[in-house]
Amino acid sequence: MRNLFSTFCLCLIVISQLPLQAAENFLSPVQERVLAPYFKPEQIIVSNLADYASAGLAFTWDQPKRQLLLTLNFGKSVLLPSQGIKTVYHFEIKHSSLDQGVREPFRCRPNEQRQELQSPQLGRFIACNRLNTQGSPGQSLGLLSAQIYPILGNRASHIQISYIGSQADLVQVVQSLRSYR
Amino acid sequence: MKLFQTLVLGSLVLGLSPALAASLDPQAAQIFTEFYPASQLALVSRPGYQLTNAQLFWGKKDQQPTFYVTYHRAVPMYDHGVTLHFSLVLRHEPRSQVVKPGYTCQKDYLQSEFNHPQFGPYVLCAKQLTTKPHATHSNAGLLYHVTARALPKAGNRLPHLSLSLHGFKEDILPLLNSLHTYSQE
Repeated sequence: MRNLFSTFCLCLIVISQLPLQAAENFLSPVQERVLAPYFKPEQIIVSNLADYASAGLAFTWDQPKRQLLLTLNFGKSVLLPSQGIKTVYHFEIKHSSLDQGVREPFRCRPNEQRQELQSPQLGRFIACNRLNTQGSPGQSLGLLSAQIYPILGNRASHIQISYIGSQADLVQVVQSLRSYR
Repeated sequence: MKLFQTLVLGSLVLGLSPALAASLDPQAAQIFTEFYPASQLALVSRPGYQLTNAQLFWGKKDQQPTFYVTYHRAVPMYDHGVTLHFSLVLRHEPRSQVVKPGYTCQKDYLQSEFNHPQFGPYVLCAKQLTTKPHATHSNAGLLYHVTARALPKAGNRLPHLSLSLHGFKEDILPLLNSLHTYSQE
């Protein structure tokens, strides 16, 4: 019985450590080297939220602004029991060399709801939320779309996040944000 | 004399700007050639088509990335009250994109062949599109333009590259002919 309990505890510890390990090895050595002149490791913002896996990353050269953008995608597969449908909750962290921070008072668009969110490591964010528009497949699933902006003074004022998923996960996503290194 | 100088200088600047915008920034090329060597990094050059962005995308961590180079051209059609927006994408994949023998285009696409003097054969799938004039210019006729895909055939020397093109009918072949690599710039 004692052995079973110890194994269970060990498993919990391993599972709780897994996402963090994944975040630490998020980039390959070549990717890190190429990004180095543009983003310091502490400027690369990742999420270690359990269940969410990396769903791709992109380096985009924005020619008109002559800047490099780094985009990190995360996703999780979700079964919605009430509808018996499988869907994906997804978010994208876009890093820019330009400041993305918004100043207060900040207003979302008329069809959006403003929500203030807090990341323990980075600071305050504003999410502009809306339920998916009529006719889109997401509407019947009750999914929320959000654009998340850092408020000026946030330690990651160079990022913006696009999110689609549930309201509960939105809060957790922002809370889970942290520096890559 | 001053007017003449201004005109000459102005036309030089105008003449140069599309070429400058059409080429990849050396700073960006330094990043992308880490993953696709200059001799495999494809570009096009046609007045009006401006390089807007280039992107490396990794689906999985240890995978080689897919690389996209995107161009844009805006054509204001004053007689029709609309502006046409054309885009062109060069898709570089880690694996060969060479089509199998007997490949046929999707339904509604016209199939033809194109032979690039340097890189070799492509299958070309093209479809005509139309745009209506703005309501304020209802007497103007429809605008015709073309969307096309060029896929490498066996023997092509850039087997990892495919192109999505959009423009007027007369743009498609010059765009394909202008295909070159970054090492040739």
